[in-house]
Amino acid sequence: MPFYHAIVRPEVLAPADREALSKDVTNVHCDVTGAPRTFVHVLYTVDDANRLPDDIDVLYRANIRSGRTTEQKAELTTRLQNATAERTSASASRVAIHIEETEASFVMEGGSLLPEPGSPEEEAWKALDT
Amino acid sequence: MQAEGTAAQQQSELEQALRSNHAAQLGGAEVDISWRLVESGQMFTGGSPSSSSVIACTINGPTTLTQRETYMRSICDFWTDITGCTDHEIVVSISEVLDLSTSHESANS
Repeated sequence: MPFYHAIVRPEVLAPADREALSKDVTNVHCDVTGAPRTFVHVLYTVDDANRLPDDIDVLYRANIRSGRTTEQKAELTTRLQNATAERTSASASRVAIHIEETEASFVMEGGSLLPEPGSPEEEAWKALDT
Repeated sequence: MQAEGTAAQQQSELEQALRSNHAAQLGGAEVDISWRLVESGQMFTGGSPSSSSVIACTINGPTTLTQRETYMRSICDFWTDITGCTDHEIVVSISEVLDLSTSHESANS
């Protein structure tokens, strides 16, 4: 965790560009939160059934740990919209981010419960990438 | 969710282990399991192609921290034993629902 599920219209993102966009998403999340890169997951689903709202080309269902500030979530949203607009044919205004929050103690990854944001344990966890 | 290419035999073993784990630790209620097999090029971890499995469990709550940690630790243990993956290729999450008669577990990657 975090887990970003990107639902995209077929014409806005070439399959060959998914990896690059996933790096962008990872960069944004890690810049804003300090989380280790290896914990950031991005899953793509192509909206072949045309279920996205008419005014949306890319929808992220972002499941992140509880405890992020309002400012952090706003920054995540803005930067993800901009990064996605640069990498796809969607404009930033047509990129939606729905943030869902999960308590850290309800997720195990890397063999351990995730640390609470701001806890002493989180500092050691953040160093996992370095 | 689970990565493309996971053998049917492994899926069967994983389902059996998920049911046994749930019965042993949380009381034996019926377990529904659904799978989403993720094709290559659809999931990325840390910006690179992913080999991770995501096991999202919806269970009756409330649970204690110890119960959740033990439950998820056990899933990690049998998942690594059966698939040969590492702990770093497994994400287990729990969502609690009150008065849920059936446990739902979905596995992805």
